[in-house]
Amino acid sequence: MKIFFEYLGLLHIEGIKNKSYLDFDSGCTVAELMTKLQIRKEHQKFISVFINDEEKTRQTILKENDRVKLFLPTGGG
Amino acid sequence: MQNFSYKQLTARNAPQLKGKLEKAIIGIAGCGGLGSNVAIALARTGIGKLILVDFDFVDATNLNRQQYFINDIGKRKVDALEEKLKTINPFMQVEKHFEKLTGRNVKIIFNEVHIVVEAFDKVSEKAMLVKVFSRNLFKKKYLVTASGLAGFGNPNSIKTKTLAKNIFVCGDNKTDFLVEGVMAPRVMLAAGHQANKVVDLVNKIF
Repeated sequence: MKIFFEYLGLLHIEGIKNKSYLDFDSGCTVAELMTKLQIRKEHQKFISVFINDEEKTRQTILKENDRVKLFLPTGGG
Repeated sequence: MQNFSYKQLTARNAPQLKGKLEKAIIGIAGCGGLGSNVAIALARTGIGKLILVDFDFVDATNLNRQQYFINDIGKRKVDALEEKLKTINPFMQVEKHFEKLTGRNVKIIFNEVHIVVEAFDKVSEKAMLVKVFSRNLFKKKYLVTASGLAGFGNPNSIKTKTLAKNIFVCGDNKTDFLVEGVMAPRVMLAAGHQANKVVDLVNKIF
């Protein structure tokens, strides 16, 4: 299953090119995606997840051709 | 205020904004570096009403980037900022909330706004507002958030991007204030992006 993956903010994911297509097993949830991408637990709770421009939970099951965007804001204001 | 009118204040504005800005109600979540700069920029445009929310007092370390002066030290930020806003645009309504914005009170405080400017320091507070604006009740309102405005140099890395249909993010999405510090030039760049996005949205809403 292919998804289009984008991340913004403080996230830095080793070996994953931003705005690229990723291949995952069918039935994969957002939480599983974060684990596979080795996103730190302390970051996960502040990440907003958008799939096809709609905010979704970490329990959401990904589908073929979903456009997944993860946003972890950097501090400062 | 001799010979000073709203018409004069807005005389040099973009013509297509005429009759729109004064209808807009904008929330300012945090009156620090971003919030104070955005509020002043919006006051100058002729925005109708600002709702300011901050629980903090002005201190000396704020003066390197926030729109306060030495004689503001010790004042509530919402009070000090209101004073300045009124000297620029006395026609604008200002509603002040001297309290911490939380997931519980945000829907009450910002019930009537069209757009909210997120201007917090902490990642957890920024994330809270993004989540609120992603949920049903606030999906018809807009959020202009900020991420990455720390340090100095590289001005062109600060950009305005679309996060969702109603959420926009301004900043370089990299620099963090705890690592690189925060200074007026880049904070004002990011605040300028936020204020500009607000004006753009007001043009589309009305």
